[in-house]
Amino acid sequence: MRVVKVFDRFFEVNGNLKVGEIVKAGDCLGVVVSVVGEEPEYAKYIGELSRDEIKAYMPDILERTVVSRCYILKGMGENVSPEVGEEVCLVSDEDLKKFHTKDGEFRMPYFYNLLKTCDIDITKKILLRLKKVFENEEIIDILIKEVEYMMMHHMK
Amino acid sequence: MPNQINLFPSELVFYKMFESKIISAEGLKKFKNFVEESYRGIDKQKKEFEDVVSTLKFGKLNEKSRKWAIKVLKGLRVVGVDGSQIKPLREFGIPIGAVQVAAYSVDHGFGKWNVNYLSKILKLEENVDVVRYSMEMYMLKKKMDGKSYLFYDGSFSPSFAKELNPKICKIYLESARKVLKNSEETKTPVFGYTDRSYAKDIAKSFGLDVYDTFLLEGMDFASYTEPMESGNLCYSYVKFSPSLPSRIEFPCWMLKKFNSFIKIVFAECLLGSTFAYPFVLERAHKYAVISEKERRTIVEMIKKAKISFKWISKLR
Repeated sequence: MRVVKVFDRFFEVNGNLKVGEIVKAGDCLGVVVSVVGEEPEYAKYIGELSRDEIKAYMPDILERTVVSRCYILKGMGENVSPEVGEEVCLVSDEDLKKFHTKDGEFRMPYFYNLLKTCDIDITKKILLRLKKVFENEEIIDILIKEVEYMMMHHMK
Repeated sequence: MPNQINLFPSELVFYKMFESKIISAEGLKKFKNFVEESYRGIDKQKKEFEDVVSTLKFGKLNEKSRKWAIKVLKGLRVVGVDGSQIKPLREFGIPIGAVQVAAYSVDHGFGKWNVNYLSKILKLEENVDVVRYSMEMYMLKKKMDGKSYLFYDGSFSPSFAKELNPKICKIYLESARKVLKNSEETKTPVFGYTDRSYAKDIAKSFGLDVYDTFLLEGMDFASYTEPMESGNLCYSYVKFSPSLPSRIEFPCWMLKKFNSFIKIVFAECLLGSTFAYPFVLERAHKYAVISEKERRTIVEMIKKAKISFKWISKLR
């Protein structure tokens, strides 16, 4: 998977990821906020052949191109965005820890912007992932409760 | 009106030139007249064309369904080769070009497929067209394994090559010659498929100056001319669509099995989205093409790398 486009606080990846997954692209950390699949080319070839026959004789026309849009959570430095063509992978626990630790303490400086920009459910997914890495951080529990309250409030 | 024959070649360039835009009332009128004049010329020769066509032999395929096509192609590995290019300066604003060649391979009936690429970044001084053609021929050679059926989107005797300077012409012809030779040595069938051919081989042999496809416009659907030889190459015209016939070329060793090969060509065309152009070439084209998005990405990368004309000129 690679970065195919960078704009504002977002970048796009040519790969099938899941909404809420956290990825690493160079020095940047991003969260998947949407996944858009382009229609397969099947429609152009539709006709007398069954789907199984198409799969056997023209296999690649059934494949979908998927682009995942990611919100930039954090760069190692300030205002860092990934380069087009940069390799993208799911972030490891180790990297996640590194990205969220400063002077030995847990930091989540993007929290406010994330809430402002992205779906609240995505924020919750990030917090749940962080909780697995920072098991003893009470602040994460508080934030999760806060987000759940906001979700309930929103439903009302 | 000046007599065209009495003009010097340099004056001939300016003959019928006009002082307005092409897309203007005058320009469009001239354009329309030009087309009508050309058609009138063809109409005048129609009787001669009919005489020529009546001397040619044609074959016909009776099956026209995709069900028939998959029966023909079952178990065959078919490969399509096509390339694309970015010319220096015109699209970049800087003297770098690029060629990308794709070989799309499918094992019909088994659902297996893959794409291989060959790419090259070029300097301004390099001829993009000739590099692309050579790379396409090289890719075809690489795919000759004695098991696959290869399709190439173009000609093995490009008519324009003879009009180029002898050095360039030699590269074109030599690249194609190697493919034809290797095809025979490895017994790998290869077809050059030209959707819109401007060859005049048949017409010239009858002393006419017209494109063969115009001459053969009236061919029946799903018919083909019996193959003809031209040096180490054979060619045939096939009509798989309501428009003009297409031209296929292949090495002469394939002549003996032409009747079974033509079925493969037709079957591939029936699988295509238009029913008139080989499926594997449609796919090869899709993978080879350098999209607008990719072009923008390349330009952005070059801008970021701060490559300048001055910098490149120092590399030479």
